[in-house]
Amino acid sequence: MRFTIAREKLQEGLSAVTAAVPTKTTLPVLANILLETTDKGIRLSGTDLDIAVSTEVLADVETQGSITIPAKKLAEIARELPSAPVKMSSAGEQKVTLECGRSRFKLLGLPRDEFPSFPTVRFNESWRVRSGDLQKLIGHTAFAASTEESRPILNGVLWELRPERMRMVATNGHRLSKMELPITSEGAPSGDLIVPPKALEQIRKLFPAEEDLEIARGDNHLAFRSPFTSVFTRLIEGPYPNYEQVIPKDNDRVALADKNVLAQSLRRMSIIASDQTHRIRLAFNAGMLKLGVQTPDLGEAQDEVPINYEGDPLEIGFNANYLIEILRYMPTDEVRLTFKAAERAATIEPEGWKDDARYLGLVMPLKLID
Amino acid sequence: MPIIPLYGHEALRARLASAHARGALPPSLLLHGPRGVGKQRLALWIGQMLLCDSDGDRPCGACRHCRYVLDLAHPDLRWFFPRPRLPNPDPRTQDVLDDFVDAIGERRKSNGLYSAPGGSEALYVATVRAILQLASLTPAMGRRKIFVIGDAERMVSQEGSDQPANAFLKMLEEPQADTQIILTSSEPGSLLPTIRSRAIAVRVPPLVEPASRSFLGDPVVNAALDRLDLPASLEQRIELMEGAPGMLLESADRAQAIAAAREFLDAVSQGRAEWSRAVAKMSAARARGFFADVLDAMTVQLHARLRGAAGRSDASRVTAIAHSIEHIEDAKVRVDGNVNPQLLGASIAREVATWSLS
Repeated sequence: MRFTIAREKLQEGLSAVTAAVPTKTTLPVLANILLETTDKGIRLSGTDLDIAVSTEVLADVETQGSITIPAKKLAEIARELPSAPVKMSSAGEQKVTLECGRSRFKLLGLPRDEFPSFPTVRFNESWRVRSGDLQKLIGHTAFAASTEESRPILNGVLWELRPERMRMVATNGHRLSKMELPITSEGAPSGDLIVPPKALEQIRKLFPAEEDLEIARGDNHLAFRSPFTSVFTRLIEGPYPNYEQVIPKDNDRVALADKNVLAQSLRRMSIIASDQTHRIRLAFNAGMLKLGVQTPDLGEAQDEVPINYEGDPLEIGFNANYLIEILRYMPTDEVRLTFKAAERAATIEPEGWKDDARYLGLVMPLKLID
Repeated sequence: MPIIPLYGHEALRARLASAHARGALPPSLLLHGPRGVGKQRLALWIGQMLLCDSDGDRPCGACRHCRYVLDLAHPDLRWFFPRPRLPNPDPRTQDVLDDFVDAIGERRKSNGLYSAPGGSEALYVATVRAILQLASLTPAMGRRKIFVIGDAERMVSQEGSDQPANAFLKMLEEPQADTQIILTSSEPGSLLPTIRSRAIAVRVPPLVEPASRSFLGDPVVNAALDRLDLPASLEQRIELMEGAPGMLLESADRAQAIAAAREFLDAVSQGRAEWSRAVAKMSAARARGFFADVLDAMTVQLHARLRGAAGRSDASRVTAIAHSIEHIEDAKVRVDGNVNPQLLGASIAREVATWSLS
């Protein structure tokens, strides 16, 4: 194998795949990336067997071949190289020589055969999605997935794909985030997938917003493909909880509030809130929201926020952090909050959002202790 | 360097392979039998058989899946066993998995030859949470995921601490269709009844003599045994092994336990001050493992003394020693609950002193 590549191109390829390389593994070859020559250049691949990333970058190939090289060391070398063409060649299956300007390195690799093969996924029945749309869904929902390890199913993000729309939902059982976008993916089957947030985060970072992606499901993996890059991820198994039954349909008390003013007030109150429950009290009155918090052994605080509210007075408790987090992801300056009663779930939606997407946040209330 | 082959158990292997071929292999198995007979190695073999993609006999030993299993590196065959508690009191799944990368690395380095876990090693709740996390994912390479849980009775780390076992129960109650669970235990009675009832029990017998000879004929095994303080002759080693290769690996530990038991019984016969010192020398924790071995050795030594007293027709001493043996047997039951060894030691010393001082 022998090829010449621009240092920037080598770095571009490496930065795409090294995030998938594990720091600790029982399979030593996984600490390496696979380098293979192609018709147009070289393909770099890395995997921790949960996520696999493969990307092709332009290079001038003299002799075809493939080898695996320690990923971390190659990335460190590429970062320190001068801005000059990089010549790489391998003698046999285990030695790679890298030359750039007057610098010269010899690295020990491992044979290509030891590198696990990537999952087989057929793209004949695939969904087509613009990467920017996917980034929007991921960016607005994945944060709400549970980080608790007791219910693995909630550690994933539910992704519902239908021929005319796609929707992502994430929840930790106390708060929920849901976003839906129209798509046109004719001929693609419907599918409900539970995807680990770590994989979604990689996908969000890896594909430029303007790229069109093909997405297909194999037996055990979900695959994303653009002209030069492919990503494979394992999925979380099992039925996702029926979140629809938690989303209230009859919340008849509506408040409109300035997102930033409300978030600032919540942050102020959360300073005094209990470290365990983060409980605060919200009292909705005509034209005014009164926020209050009282924590034994610490103190108390009150604040007021002008709002547009005309329903009956309502006192309700929340985990301040959940409200702050949901407000952070609201795309409009004004938000719409809806309630039914102090013991029922509240929803938060963007107000006046001129977008094809539909977005909803939900927070379960906390019982107020008098 | 791959782990050593599985020796013996041919009839059992044939039964399991036949059940798999008929699609009748239960999704949850409990391999039980005497300590050291190779239950966990057999479990790994079952996993290899299930993952092998050869068109011929499985496991073929040559395909990529087989090679990964034999290198203890297959991402779909997860092997868990008792480990010391991690320094972080509430470790994350990644901490547990990193610890197992090291532990598996050690077992790979010793070609899959290892001795029984120490007394404080257990399958703690963080380990079970990690298992549940891995079980929730689709397989990485194969068609299914296999979880081998060695010394599964250690999910109850001590009497009353059954949180890990109860967490694991969820996985047994609602197994994924692509998941095979293989528990192993030499003390199945110590498993929660709810776990025992949800796994199909398969008895793993000691190795028959030809299999023992094959095991001892393996050069890798020989090299490992030569590093231990063992008799050199093959016949003596076969006798010492009693069909359980693991016991041979533990024989150095057993010799230590025999010496500790003798020292303890001698101290008890020398008066309260001596036996107090002997009790204080015992560990304040870790009843399982070494302390359990010491109790076994005490029983053997008291039986010898009982035979001596019977030979002298000393009926009252025979009765007293028999009473002490019964007391130690009770203590062994408490050891399963990981009761403080010093408390048990004091109780035994008081009992033995009633006759050994007179």
